[in-house]
Amino acid sequence: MTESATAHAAHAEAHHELGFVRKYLFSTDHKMIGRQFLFLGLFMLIIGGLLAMMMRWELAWPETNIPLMGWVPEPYMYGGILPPQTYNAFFTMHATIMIFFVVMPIMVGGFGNFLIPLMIGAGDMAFPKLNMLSFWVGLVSGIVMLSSFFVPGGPAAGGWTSYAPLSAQASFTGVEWGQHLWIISLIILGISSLMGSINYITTVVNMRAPGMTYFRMPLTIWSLFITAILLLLALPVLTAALAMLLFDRMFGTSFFLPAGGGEPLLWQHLFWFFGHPEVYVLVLPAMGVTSDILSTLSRKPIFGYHAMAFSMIAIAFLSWVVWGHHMFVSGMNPLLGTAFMMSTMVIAIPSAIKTFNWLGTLWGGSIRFTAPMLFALGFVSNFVIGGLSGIFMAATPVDIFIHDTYYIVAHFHYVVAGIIFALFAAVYYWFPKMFGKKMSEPLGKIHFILTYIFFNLTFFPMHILGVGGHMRRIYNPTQYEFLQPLQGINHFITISAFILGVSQLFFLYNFIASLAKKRDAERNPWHANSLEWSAESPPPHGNYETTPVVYRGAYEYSSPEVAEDWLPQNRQVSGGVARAH
Amino acid sequence: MKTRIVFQAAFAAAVWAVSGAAQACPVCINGAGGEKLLDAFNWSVLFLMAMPYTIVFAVIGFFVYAYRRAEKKQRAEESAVMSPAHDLS
Amino acid sequence: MPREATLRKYSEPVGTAVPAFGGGDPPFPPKARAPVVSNARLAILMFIAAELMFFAGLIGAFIVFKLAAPLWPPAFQPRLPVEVTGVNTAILLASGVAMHLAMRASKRREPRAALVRWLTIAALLGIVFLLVQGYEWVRLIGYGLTLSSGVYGGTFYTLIGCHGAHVLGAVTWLGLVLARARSHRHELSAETVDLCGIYWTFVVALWPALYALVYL
Ligand code: HEM
Repeated sequence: MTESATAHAAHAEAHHELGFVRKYLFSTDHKMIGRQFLFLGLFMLIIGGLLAMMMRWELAWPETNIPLMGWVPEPYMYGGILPPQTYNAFFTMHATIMIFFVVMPIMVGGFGNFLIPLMIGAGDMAFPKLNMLSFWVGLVSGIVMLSSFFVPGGPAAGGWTSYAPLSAQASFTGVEWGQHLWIISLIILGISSLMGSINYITTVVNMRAPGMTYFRMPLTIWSLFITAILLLLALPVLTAALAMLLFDRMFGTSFFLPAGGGEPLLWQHLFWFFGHPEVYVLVLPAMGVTSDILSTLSRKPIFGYHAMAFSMIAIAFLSWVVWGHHMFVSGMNPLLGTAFMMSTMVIAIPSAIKTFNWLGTLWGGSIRFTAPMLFALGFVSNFVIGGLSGIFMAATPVDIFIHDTYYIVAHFHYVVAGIIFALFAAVYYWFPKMFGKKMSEPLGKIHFILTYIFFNLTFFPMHILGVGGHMRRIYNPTQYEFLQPLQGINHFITISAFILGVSQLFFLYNFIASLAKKRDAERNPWHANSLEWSAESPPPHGNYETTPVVYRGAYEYSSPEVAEDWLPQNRQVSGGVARAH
Repeated sequence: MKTRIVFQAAFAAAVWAVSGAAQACPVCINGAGGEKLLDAFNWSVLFLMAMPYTIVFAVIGFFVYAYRRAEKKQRAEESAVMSPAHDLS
Repeated sequence: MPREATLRKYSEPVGTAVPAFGGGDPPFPPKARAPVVSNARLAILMFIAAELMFFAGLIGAFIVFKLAAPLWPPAFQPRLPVEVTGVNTAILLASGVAMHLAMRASKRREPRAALVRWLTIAALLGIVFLLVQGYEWVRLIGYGLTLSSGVYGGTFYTLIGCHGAHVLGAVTWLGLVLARARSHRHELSAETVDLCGIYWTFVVALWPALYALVYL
């Protein structure tokens, strides 16, 4: 009796149905938490995007009524006309939302949670409850951030970098509670991210399936692992700085206020200590995801796996020094100064290595131009453009000229908004695994073509604006005589941006319609090697029927050992040509 | 040929050395608060910069130590299992 | 040339010692091995790493103020109680020693009583430390040193206050562990004691550095 009873109990244990709340809301399943982060991020993407649209309207047709916005009450908008302080608030919130509530939740929170256990062959995260808490704390942080739109004085308006002393005293921006809430929200987000990164690191270190050595992990996992380390060590410093800023604003300290003996530069010192690693936090997961997608969909092993992994490690190591270069000032030992300069230049090398390895991966491959592949290629091309325009700025004479102009805006949008391409690539690629349904390919392709064209039409002309002297963060370009001839370009950019915005409806429709479909995805629609594709789509609670055993790295495409052109990590090949069943 | 390379390298080094004066840094605080402030910032930079490396290397060191210890323990256990078998033969 | 050979050719630079395709020949059969550092221990280490960075941020700010000031402590500001706090430092360090003994007792599976004794001593010493700190704070506030008296007061209260909050958190945690240790209904794993002990050690070890920096 006992044996069948225990078997039965085990069976019931594996299949017991959870209630709605446990299953969809307070779920401890890493896959559900990943989906929750994804939804949160996509929702925030809509808000951040709408803010961008309104800013673009203002820049093209300054001080005219923005259509459909007449309902916003008086001090924030005047019958749809954007006043300057609201413009300031909008670019601040646009950037904050895009960075902290779109790219980080989706790439790190969403795909990190979803993919890490699946790709290393674990049943769940090391600490499922902590994981759940991480999402809910993150959600609270998002709600606090959004609620700042509704407090008197409006949301924070000091730029996403919130430089002190502008941000340290309410009277400077006229924003009291908006800035308080901005600070509080980011402190809460820091806690959420701390829980997340502890979880990721522990999971990657301790929960890999047998045979999954570090150097057999897919590059996505490498990137998320390194991202977690960067977040773990960088965010607490931001938290410390934010706490001091909050004290300045609320409890009368004067860390950043010169009037009380404070030091405004201290903010930049601490902020950029966090900021430089943060840039890599944003871009590393995008790079990892791109590596996996490029390799799978060109049916070729990734070119230079070890170089890819080590270049990410190098980025992580160097990202702490780069900031030192910005902060170190005169009186510095020349030797040290040169060392800093070198490190700043050297950090471009790992990124270049990655770019060339991507090209090497594509070379001679049989490329499948599917939606994820197209978006991954889009990410690479945007990254190259953004990287090249960055080199211009490294040249001092050029930088003096284009500093704080739209050239900069163009540059960082090619990089950070380019990450959105990798984000879409990841969504198209892993959607079948996440939801067990396939997204429509034709719609995906249309989405890509429109997004790619209008992304470039939006951001490329900004280079020209910048060289023409168009300042960043200005409210009304027509006030400047020398900018008036450039206003045509502003019109052009704004119209492109609107079409870019509207194109996203293809994605939205595709996403929602695919969610509403019946399940139709097989286990391995892309014929990929990494472990997650050997689980069901979507994987059940606990992911794998039996713990997978790993025999090789994730990139054995077109291997001569088997007849198919893919060879999953967990398939044992014993002599001769084996066949998958 | 060789002299030319040497000359070019020297020129590049010279340009680099001189260009310091023209470096525009967005957070330049030259002359903002005197020598003492600059010194203070530099020490703070050095301190903050050393921290992540210290922590990461400490953790890596701890891991290496823990692995070694675990391996030694395992080997000891294995030989403990092995020895009776040897006795039998 | 067959497809496979072509692809192999492009896949990796020739002549590398590193095996191709991101992974070498598998050691057959792949072994599952227990983690060397347990999940919980690793997590607490990571948490401490993050905490260290948090304090590093505050200390980084403090260094700027202290070194840039023409006079530190600034004129017309009360001096900090160096001697009393020195004694207090000794108290906290003693609590660290007690905690260490408690960890050793639990590791060696000594009788519960030994564990409970050392844990109690550690907790009491921690509480004494907090009380002395609190008393000194009250006196300093009486002398007119507050959060808003310039960066001197500001850095003092944030830095020392943050540490105090951590001691408070550690004492609370210790209290919970102690309650479990005292009640005989509960199994008490060595790890439960260890985790708390590691964190306690961190809080204790951080203090001398802060003391040297802020008070001396
Ligand atoms: C739909 C596409 C987007 C458009 C049309 C757009 C447009 C804009 C505009 C008009 C500004 C204000 C420039 C100024 O006044 O100086 C801006 C700023 C910014 N955007 Fe975007 N943006 C887009 C997407 C993104 C994304 C996806 C990200 C990041 C993930 C991003 C990050 C930023 C940042 C960091 C700033 C700087 C804000 C500041 O100056 O404090 N943007 N964007």
